[in-house]
Amino acid sequence: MKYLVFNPTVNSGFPCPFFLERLPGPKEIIHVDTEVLASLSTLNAADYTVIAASPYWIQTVLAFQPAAIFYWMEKCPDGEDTTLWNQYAGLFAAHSRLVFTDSEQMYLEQCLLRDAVFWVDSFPAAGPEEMKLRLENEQLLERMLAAQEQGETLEPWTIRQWESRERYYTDLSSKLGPHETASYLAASYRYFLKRPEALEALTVSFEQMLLKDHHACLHSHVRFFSALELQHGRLDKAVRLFDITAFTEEERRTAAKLYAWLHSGRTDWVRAELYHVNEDIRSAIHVLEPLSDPEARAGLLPLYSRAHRWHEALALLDAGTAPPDGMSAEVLRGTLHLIHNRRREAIQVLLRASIPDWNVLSHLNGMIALEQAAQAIAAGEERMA
Amino acid sequence: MKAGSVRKTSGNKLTAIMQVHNEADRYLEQVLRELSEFVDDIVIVDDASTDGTAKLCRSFAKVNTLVTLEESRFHEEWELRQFLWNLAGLTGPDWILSVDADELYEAKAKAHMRELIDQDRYDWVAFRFYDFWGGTTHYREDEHWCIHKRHTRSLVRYMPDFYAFYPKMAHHVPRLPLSYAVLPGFLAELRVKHYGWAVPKEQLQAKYRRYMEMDPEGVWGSLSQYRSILDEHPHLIEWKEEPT
Repeated sequence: MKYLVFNPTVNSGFPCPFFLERLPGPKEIIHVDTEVLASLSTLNAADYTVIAASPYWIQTVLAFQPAAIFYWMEKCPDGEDTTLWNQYAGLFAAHSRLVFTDSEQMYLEQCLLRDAVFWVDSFPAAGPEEMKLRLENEQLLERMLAAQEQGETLEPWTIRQWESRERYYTDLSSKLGPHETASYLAASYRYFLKRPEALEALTVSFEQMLLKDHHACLHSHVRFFSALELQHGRLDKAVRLFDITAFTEEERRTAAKLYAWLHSGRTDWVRAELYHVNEDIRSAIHVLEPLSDPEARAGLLPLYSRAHRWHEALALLDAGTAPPDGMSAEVLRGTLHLIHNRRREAIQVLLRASIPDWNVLSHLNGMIALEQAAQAIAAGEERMA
Repeated sequence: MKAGSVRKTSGNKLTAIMQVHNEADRYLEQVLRELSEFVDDIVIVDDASTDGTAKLCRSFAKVNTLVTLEESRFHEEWELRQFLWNLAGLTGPDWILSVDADELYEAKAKAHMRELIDQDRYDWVAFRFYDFWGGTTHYREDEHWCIHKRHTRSLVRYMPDFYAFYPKMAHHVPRLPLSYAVLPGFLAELRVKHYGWAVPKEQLQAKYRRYMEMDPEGVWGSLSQYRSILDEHPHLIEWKEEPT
C-alpha cells in the first residue's frame, strides 16, 4: 500500500513516527512536501491511503479522494483558533476510515462519538510491565491496520483495545487502592464493553471524589450512573438518576420529556435521549438509525451534527426533516462544499443563505480562516507554540 | 409538582431520624416533643440503651419506627448511620432531617421548615448549630467552639436512587450521606441549639474522659479541642431568641 502523510506542516515531521512504522508492509510512505503537493493531481488517488495530522489539510485531502483516510487527531495547539480547529478536526474524523490519537482523553471522547477509533501509546515505557502493555498495543495496532487493509470489520479490534485498557486500569486500581481516576477510567472502559462491573468501579470513584472533597461530579459521576442503568435496561432508574442531575430549564424539560416517553412506552426514545444527554452520541445514533418514523429522523439531526456527520444531517434536511434551533441546511451545505474544495459553490450557497439570515455571513469568515490556515501549513509555516 | 419528578414542590413528607443511647434523663423528651410539632414521622435507632429511652420514644405518636439494638454499634458509627438511613428509607420519606437527641430547632427554623422543603431548586439545607455550654442560656464561642460560624447540613431530600455514601469511619461520621455534597443546597440563616454541652461541670469532665478513652491519639478529632472541654473560663455568649 502507498501512504501519503500530511504532516502538521509540510516542513514538520509526523507527530508519532512509531505509528508509521506499524503500517502493514510492503509499503511506500511519502511525506507530503511542496513538491508532492504540486504534483498531487498526477497521482492515482485510488492507490493511496492518506494519513493526515492537521484538520487544515481537509480540503486538499478530500479533493484528492484517496482510497482511505486515517486521521491523526491532536488537541488544538496553543495559539490556534479552537473553534476552527475542532470543527474541521471533527469533519475530518467523520470522513475518515480510522481515527488515531495518542491522547487517551481524546480517545475516550472520540469513542463516544464514532466507531473505529484507536489509541496509540506513544509514551516511552517506564518498566517491564509498561513495555508489555506497549507491545500488546503495538500488536493490536498492527492487526487493526491489517484488518483495515483487508476490508474487514474493525469492531473486534476496537473491543480488544477497550479490553486491554480496562485490564490496565483494573490492575492499576488494585495496586493503588481505591483511586478516583483509575476507577473512573476502569468504569469507562467497562461501559464501552457493556460490563455490569462498571457500576462497582464508578461507585469506588464516586466515593473517592467525595472523600477528597471533589464535589463537582454531578455530571461526570451521577449522570454516568444513569448511563450504566440505561445500558443494562433499567430505564426507570436511569431516568430518575438523570432527573437528579437536572437543574437547568433545558435539563428539566428533557427530564419531563423522558418521563412522558417512559410512561407511553417509547423506550427507544428514552434510550436515545439518555445516551444523548450522557454524551454517548455513538450509542444514541445506533438506537435511532434503525427507526423509520419522522421523529427518529428529527432526533438524529442533532446527533449527526454533533458527530460531524454533516452529509447525513444534510440528507435528512433535504428530505424535509425540520432543522433544530441553530441548524441551517445551507450552512451545512456550504461547509461541505468548502471542505471538498468546491470554493465557488460554497460561497454561492453561503451568500444566498445570508439574504434571509445575515448571521450566515460569519461562516464566510470561518471559510477564509480555514483557507488561510490551509495555505499556512502548505507553505510550511510552523504553528504557534 | 411535576409528574414523575424526583422533586416535589408540595406535599413533602418530612421524616426526622435519630440515633439515641441512654438519653432518657437528658433532652430527648423535649427534642421529641418539639420535633412532633413540625415533622411528619420520626425514625429512631436505639443503640442498646439501658435506661428508659425506648419507652420514652414509644410514647410519642410520631415515632413510627423504633429499632432497639441489643449491642451497641457506636464503635462502628458509620454502620449505625447507614442502618438508620436505610431504615428511614423504608418509611417513604421525601425529606430527612437528621437530629441528635440534644438538638433543638429554634422557633423561626420550625416556622420555615415547610418552605424549605416544598421547592425543587435545592436538595439539602444547612443550618447554624450553636454549642450551648454549662446550661441553656449561653453558647460557647472561641477557637475550638465555633461550629455556628459555618453551616451544617442536616436536612436532605430523600431520593432512593441516589447513592447514599457514608465513609467507613469509627467515629465522627457525617450525620447524612456525603454524596449530598454534589447536589445544590441552601445555607439557611436559621439556628439549631445543641445542648450536648449544656451540662454541669462534672458531666463536662466525664465527657472529656470519655473522648480521651475513645480517641486517645486524636485520630478522629482534635486533642486540643478535647482538652478545651476542661477550660475554666470559656467564652460564653447569651442566646437571644429571634422572632418567627
